[in-house]
Amino acid sequence: MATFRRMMRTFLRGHWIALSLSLLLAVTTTALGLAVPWFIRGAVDKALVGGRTDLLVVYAAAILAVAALRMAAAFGRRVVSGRVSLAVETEMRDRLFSHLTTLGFDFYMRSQTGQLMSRAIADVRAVRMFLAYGLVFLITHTITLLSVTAILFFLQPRLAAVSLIPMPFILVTARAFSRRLHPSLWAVQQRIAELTAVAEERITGIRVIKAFAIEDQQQATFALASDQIYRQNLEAAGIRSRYIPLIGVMPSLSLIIILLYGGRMVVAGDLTLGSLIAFNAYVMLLIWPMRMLGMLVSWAERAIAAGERVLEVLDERPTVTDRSTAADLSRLRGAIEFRNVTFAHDDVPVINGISLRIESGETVALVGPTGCGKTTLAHLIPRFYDPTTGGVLVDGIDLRDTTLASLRSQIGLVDQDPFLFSLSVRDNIRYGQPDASEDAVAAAAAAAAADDFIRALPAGYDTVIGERGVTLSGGQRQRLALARALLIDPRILILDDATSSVDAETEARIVDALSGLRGSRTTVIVAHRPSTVMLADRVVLLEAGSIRQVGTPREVPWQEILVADAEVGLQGQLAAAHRAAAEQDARRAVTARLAAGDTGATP
Amino acid sequence: MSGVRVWMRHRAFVRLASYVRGYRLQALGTVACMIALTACGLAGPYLLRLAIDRGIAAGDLGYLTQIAAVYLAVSLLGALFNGLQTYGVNWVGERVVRDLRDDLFRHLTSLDLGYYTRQRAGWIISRLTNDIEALEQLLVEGSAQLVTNTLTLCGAVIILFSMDVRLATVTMSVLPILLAGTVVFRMRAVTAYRRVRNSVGDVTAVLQENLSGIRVVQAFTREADSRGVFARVNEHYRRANMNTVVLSGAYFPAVEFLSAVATALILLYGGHQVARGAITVGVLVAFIGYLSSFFDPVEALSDLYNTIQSSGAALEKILSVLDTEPGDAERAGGLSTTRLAGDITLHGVSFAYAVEAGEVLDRVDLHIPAGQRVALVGPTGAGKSTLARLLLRFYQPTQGVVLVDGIDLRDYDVREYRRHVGYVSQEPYLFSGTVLDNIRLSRPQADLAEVRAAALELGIDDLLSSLPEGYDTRVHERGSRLSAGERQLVAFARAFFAHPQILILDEATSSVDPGTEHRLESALSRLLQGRTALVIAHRLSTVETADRIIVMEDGRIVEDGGHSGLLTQRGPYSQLYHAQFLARGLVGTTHSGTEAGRYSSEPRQNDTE
Repeated sequence: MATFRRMMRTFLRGHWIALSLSLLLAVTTTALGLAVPWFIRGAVDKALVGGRTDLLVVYAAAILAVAALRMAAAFGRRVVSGRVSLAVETEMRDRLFSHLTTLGFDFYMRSQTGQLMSRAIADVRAVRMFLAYGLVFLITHTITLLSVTAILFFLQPRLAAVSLIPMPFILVTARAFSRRLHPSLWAVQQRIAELTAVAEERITGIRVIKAFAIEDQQQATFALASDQIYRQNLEAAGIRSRYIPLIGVMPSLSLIIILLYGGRMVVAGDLTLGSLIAFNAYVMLLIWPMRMLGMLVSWAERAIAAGERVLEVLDERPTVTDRSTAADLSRLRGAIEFRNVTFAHDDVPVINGISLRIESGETVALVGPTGCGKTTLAHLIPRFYDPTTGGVLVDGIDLRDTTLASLRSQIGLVDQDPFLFSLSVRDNIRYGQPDASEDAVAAAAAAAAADDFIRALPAGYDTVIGERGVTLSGGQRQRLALARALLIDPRILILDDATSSVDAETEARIVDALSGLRGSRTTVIVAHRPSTVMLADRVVLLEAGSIRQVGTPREVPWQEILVADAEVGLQGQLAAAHRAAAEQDARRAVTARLAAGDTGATP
Repeated sequence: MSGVRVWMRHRAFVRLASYVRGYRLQALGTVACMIALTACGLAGPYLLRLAIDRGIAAGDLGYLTQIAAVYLAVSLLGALFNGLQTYGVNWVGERVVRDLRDDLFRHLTSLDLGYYTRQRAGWIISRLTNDIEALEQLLVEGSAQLVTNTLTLCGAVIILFSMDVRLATVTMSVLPILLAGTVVFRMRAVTAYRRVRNSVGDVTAVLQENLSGIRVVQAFTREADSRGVFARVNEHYRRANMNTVVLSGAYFPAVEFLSAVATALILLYGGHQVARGAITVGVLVAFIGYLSSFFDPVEALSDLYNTIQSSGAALEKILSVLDTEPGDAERAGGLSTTRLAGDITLHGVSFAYAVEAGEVLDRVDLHIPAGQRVALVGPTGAGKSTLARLLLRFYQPTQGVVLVDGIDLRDYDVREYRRHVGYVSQEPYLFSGTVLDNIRLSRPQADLAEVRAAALELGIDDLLSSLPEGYDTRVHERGSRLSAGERQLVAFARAFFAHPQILILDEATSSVDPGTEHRLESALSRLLQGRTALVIAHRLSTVETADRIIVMEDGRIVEDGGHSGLLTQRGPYSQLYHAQFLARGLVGTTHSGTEAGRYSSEPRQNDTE
């Protein structure tokens, strides 16, 4: 109930007037609907049985007048509540999305995109449907129930008491039905999700299936998942086929009682024929509210569960935010300092006391086995995380004293597996600076050795990429991401294995361009390949979250980590000496990952 | 909708009906239950009429009791038929859906890879899920609605006319307005709901993209812009929905108003008839009772029109997939073979992925004797991977012929043939399941010991065992719990486990760390004895140990020979080699990035991608 109250407070704020209006119109519609059987009763008793045919016109006119009013009220109710509910939904979703954009890396590391999507779409819709319609129904149906019961008792108390006996059972049965059906339908959805996953995997992995000629085996897997859906659906059908007829037959029992008992009363003169007919009509009016009230309870439960999931996201506090005292950075020189930095993910230490100064304009390569914390260290610079203890400073200012926008707008970051948007190539490159000129875009693309392939695309710079457009190779994507980072002319450039999928020659061109462009820019490279280490003025060798050695590429034995068997042939002696160490490192990396309990500390 | 389309759709539904044929008896039984259910439903107002006229008005209490008893019996029977009908329609409908879904998937797996290049995965999956669900809605809910509502509507009209023709005519006078209004509403609603669906799609797409790319959004501080874009699509969604709210807000109250008009007409005209003694009070009450029996079905059938439209479209899309013929590459039948020697010959092989796209391979002639280990090098886009795909018969050459053991590849039974070929690609695809399951993909019944024996031979058993849960480590979509290198190891083991006679490695170890890669290399030179291997590599280090090196450029073979021989020729291979040599070798002599820039002045290959 506390959640429910909180949901109402949170999501319905500013909509109370419109909601009240919608409720008022709903009550009006209901009340007007109650008038029709009353007029029929009058018409039967006074005009037909009583012989005053002249009154028929009056009753017909009354029915029409009430119906017209009712139409107007119902239209108003639908439009008003539709408007409110959609406003609530849109606001909720905007708010949820805005909030999501403020949440940091730590949140996204433990959340699945699909989960968040279903909260922002399905759960938000469930909440709005209930808040906007469910609540109104709850109230109007209760009103219908009470007023119809009152009318029936007014017409003939004994008949009312007897004929209403089956009615509460509708409510109870409808509730039981909904309670049993819902888990079954939920299970159907689960089975469908499972089949979708099976299908998705088989379709995406069709090359493997064909290469191994295991079509038959995969068809069997699919057929099994398909049969599961069938079985679960049939279970739901079983529940339906038992409850639906039961709920359907109960009102008939009421009508039979009215006919049998009420008919005798009419014959005995205790009840008019018109009242009997009206009784019949009023009982019919009760069926729907009874069913709905039974289901509304489950509806409410589901809406509350959905609301909880939405609130859960809204309750997530961003871990990295601007302090109230944070100041905008002016143009950076680009000196970076890590001061006694430690960092832990979910209490698993990733960085254990690192102190390091990177001078303005310097190029530093971070080298180390998988899981040693090099990517995490690099991600501390744009303040994707705050250190657990210690501090990171740029130009001598602690990052936590700066505004995120002024910091990040001066940092360019390129990932190993970069994310590109389903926009044109041009819009992707100028993502960080949407008003950049054509020339600036082309220059950035050229520096990233991407200009040639972009021009060869079907629509050049206007080619749309992603789901609805052209698929790019890993190397092409990396080059676009590099161009995107270079376009904002960052003072600090972070390259996280950013050219791993680029072939050697193109990489050489990029390296060339980068060295030329560098000027006084500070560059931090998370290096996985010897060619990129060469770019560095200094190499930082990391091991299990600590610095093992810092020095020039000649001083630091980084080959232990990155030795490639190119050197096995070329510099056989060197490689042979290092191979044992490399193998040991690889094994250590796996063990470290084991200890971390996941894919490693690098996010 | 044009005549052709109507005809097409008609044909589509006829084909759907052929799926029901297997469950003919159950389907007929279900329809019989629907008819009985409708009859029971229609009996109510008629019984009420009899009770009023002959029981209450006549003061015949015995008759009233009899009618009540009949009413009870009819209600109970109705409930019984309702239950049977509900279960029956689900039983038949869900079976048909399951059969169709299985057929569709089976057909999809038989299609050639060209199809999968032309169609996006999302599109294909949508046929298997969304379209099938649309059909399910029609088969299960739609069919019951269609039968019972049509019968109710017809039954009500017949009963009304048989009770009193003139009153029936008066009552029916609202029907034209109802029908016209319904058609107008339906036509508008189709467009309105399409807009809602599209706008929901946009909301989902923007959400998905921004959540997946949240790092980039935050890194470039574009949060405000993203929020702006999202607010815009969200607002479109709201407007599209508002449209449907107004539409149905007008339609449904209007239908209720018409129903009241009909009630007033019955009361007015029927009342006078009653006064004149032309009809009884019971008939009048029954008429009012039957009103809902034709207003409700009209509303329901108009809803159904929507379902039929969308499921018809879905069915056509499904059938278009089922009607797609697998390309020649997948043609079943042909020579089955228990053992291959692995001798490969290409005669003037040319290939283009599509007619309008350029040729990727240009008259390639090549002979690889059984047991040879060949390295394929060259810049990206040279056609190396395409050559590998032709060897797997993923595609057929546009010109020329590929021979294996002297027999045209087209003459083999494709699945039989592929069982002899092992293939590891650069970005291997792993299925969700355990590492163990992935390795024994070709023989799911194999046990852990067999799998480990294979991994031991490859020298990677210790690496796989040291994964978080060893061989039982679960692999998720795209293998995200494993690193790229670990995924490649699993794919390697998987290919090796199938005991292929021909092994194709397409950048198979690009993400494996050098130490492990070296272990694999040495294991391979042992394991590849007597097998033919084609190794595609960017890193030339993996190339040197091959029996033979083939250099490709622009879809042609430009050099062919041994490592040292090619180096002395000072051709493309030696240039490639030296570029990489310098990239690595320079490290020992310089530490300055600026100086390192010098090596880019080396002669460069054309870098097509």
